Amino acid sequence: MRIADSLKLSTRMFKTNPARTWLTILGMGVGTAAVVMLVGLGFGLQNILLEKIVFGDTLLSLTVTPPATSAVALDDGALAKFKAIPNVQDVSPLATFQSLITYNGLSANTDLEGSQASYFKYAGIAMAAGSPFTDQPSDGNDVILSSAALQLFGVSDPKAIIGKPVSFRIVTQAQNGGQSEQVPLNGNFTVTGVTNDSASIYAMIPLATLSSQVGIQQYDKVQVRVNASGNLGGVQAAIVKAGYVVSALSKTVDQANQIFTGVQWVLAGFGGIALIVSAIGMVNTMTVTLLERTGEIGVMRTIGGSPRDIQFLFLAEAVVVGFLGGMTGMAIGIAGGLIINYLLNLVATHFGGAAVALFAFPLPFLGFITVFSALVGFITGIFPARRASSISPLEAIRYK
Amino acid sequence: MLEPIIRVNNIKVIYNQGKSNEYNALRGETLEIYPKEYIILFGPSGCGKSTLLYSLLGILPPSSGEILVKGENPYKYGVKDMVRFQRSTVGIIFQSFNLIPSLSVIDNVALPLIFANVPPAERYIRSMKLLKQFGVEQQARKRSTDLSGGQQQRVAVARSLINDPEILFADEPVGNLDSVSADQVMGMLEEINIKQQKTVILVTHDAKLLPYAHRVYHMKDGGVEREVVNPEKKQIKQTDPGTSILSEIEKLARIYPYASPEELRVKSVVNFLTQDIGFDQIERLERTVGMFIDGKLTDEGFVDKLTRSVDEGGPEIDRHRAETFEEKLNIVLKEARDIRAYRDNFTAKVASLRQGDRIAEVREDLMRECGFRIPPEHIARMDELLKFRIRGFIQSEDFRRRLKSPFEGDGMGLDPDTARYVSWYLEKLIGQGMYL
Repeated sequence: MRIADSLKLSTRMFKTNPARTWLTILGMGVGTAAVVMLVGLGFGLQNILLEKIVFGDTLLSLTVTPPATSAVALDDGALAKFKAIPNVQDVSPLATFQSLITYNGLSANTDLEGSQASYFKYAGIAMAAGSPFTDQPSDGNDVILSSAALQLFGVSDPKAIIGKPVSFRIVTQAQNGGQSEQVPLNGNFTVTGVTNDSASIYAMIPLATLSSQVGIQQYDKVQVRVNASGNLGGVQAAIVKAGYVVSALSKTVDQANQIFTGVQWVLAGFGGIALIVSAIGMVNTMTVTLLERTGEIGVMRTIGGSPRDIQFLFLAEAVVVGFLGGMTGMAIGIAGGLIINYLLNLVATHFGGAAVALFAFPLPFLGFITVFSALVGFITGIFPARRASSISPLEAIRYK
Repeated sequence: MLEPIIRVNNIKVIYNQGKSNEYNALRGETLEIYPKEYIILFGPSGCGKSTLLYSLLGILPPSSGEILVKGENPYKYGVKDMVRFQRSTVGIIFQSFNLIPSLSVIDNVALPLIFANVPPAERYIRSMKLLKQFGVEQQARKRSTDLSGGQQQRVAVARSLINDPEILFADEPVGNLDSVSADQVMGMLEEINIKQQKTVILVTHDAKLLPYAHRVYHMKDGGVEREVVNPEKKQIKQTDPGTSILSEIEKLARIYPYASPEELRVKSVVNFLTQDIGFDQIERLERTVGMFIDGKLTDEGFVDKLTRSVDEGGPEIDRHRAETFEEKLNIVLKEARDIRAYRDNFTAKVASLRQGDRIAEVREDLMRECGFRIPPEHIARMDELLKFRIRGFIQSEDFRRRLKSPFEGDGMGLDPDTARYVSWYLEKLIGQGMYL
């Protein structure tokens, strides 16, 4: 039989029994929707946790810090060495000084960090407002504050501080262990961005600006960008061998992903129960359809339909219903997730929380559901199709 | 020597074999069907005719014995060969049409081609050609359920022929149809048999269809009781001279299809004892009388036709007798009309002076035909009896009894022979009048 013909023959139920067919599809749809929504919730939670750090650059970066013993220094020499390691694409250091920040006449203690623009990417720093500075000299007086730093000045809206002037005084320890002294940092600094880090207080300025005014002996951290994820291990080993401490975000992300995969399977399991119930309902419907069509099957068998043709027609019908059930399920699941998310966000923002995307529906997942729903349809069709094809044509003709 | 297209060799079909409700549907059938023959399997329900048909179709394996179609046993086929057999060798039409209701008419016809992987364009051409041939091409796009029974069966015939099979099976094809549609479908089957030269095997319990067949297998209780050759058709099955003889019993079998050979023998001999004309003459006489009653013949034409010889297709009645027939028939018809008019007026409660005249005329005719006279004082009672019988107040038995019983009681005092004859004749008049 031709594909077009079998499609035509196996979609007749939309004409003969539209209500029942659509209810069956809806049943499959609700089952699928349960899976889509619950797994979508898993994906959403995973994203909320990881969305700030799962940039490609961040995952391909190693964070190098000096060892506690100070046996080796994290200085320009070290940077050159790192850069010489095979497969290392870039290094981006971060220098930190104690400082006083003054805004609007108020002063507070903060870490003053100097970095290159690339550091933002490699460290996975996400912005709450504004944008990170570039390495251009025109951005030399740009300041990026952490959102925790805003709290010092009682500013709650990150956007409010953008474009405002701030000034810094660097606190340095005297060489002889005497009193610390404060050196003002020259320049009219302007806040151009706020990171969404509410845990630590810091201000970031371009490394070039910092180093032009203070001598930098050592860096606090260096981000080493590796060219491919497969080389992370090798580069990490080389740096560790040189005596430095290395941590890789990718490892953490991997672990988190593993946990979330587990969570998603559990959620999918719950949804799966609903899907199984729907599938059983569909088997039931297909069996009733089989009984209804018994006479028809008999006729088809006597006019040249082979048992395989009959089996194929039933399977095709089941796959069509399963597939449409999957489509319906995705529509219901996604719509349901988005509605729940919207309502939760309404409540959350009302109480001062931040809006989040609690559900996520990655395309590969939806693709999988499409194939999977057709497969479920196919499986539910196997038993009725077998029965239909093995029925005796004579009994089928005489069946009333 | 012509080879049979179907050879059935001592097949038995036992339903529910080994169970308490075991049932022998066929008890060892042997028959041969030749290419291009039109065969009817005839018999009452439960005689095994459908069982035999479905066995030949390849969907009811016999419990023992052998079926050969074109020299091959379909029950030895694998799935593939069986499908090929059902696609290209046999076609079937059913009593209940069995079209697929969810498909359009043209798709129903094309369905066997769909299963056979034929491209849509070719399917369309072939289906439309058949629909046109059977006069249902206007319905091609309609749903099959929107068609009348006759149209549906024509579509079913088109479907059965779409693969150009050699053998066409028909299971009570006109059982669900009105007589006009039935005639059309039977005409189509005859055309398929004659023009398209297909072997047609039809199952029916309707004796009216028997003249269509070359040969009829009369079946009873799971077996072929006898094989009747249709003398009006040129036979395809060749028989050596003398091996079969067409006797009066075979002719009678067509008049009384349900009678067994024993009953037919009795009928034949009783005809000899009671009547001086044979069944052939009776048949022709009946046809001529029918035409006369329908008003298609004048009195002279009637007499003329009655006297025609057997060679001219007439009943060969001698002229004197024919004239008597004409005279009596006219009287019978006139009195039948009187009785009808009387009853019509009576049931419509119309009071009419003519009612009494009608009864008087019936009475006069009875006395003339039956050759008796009654005294004037008896006339009132005679008329009362006639009125009672014609109105249906008394049964024919009562009427006869009262004709015989003495006048002093409630009767007419006629002698028994006259009474029987009067009653017999009046019943004829009433019967004619009722169905005028």
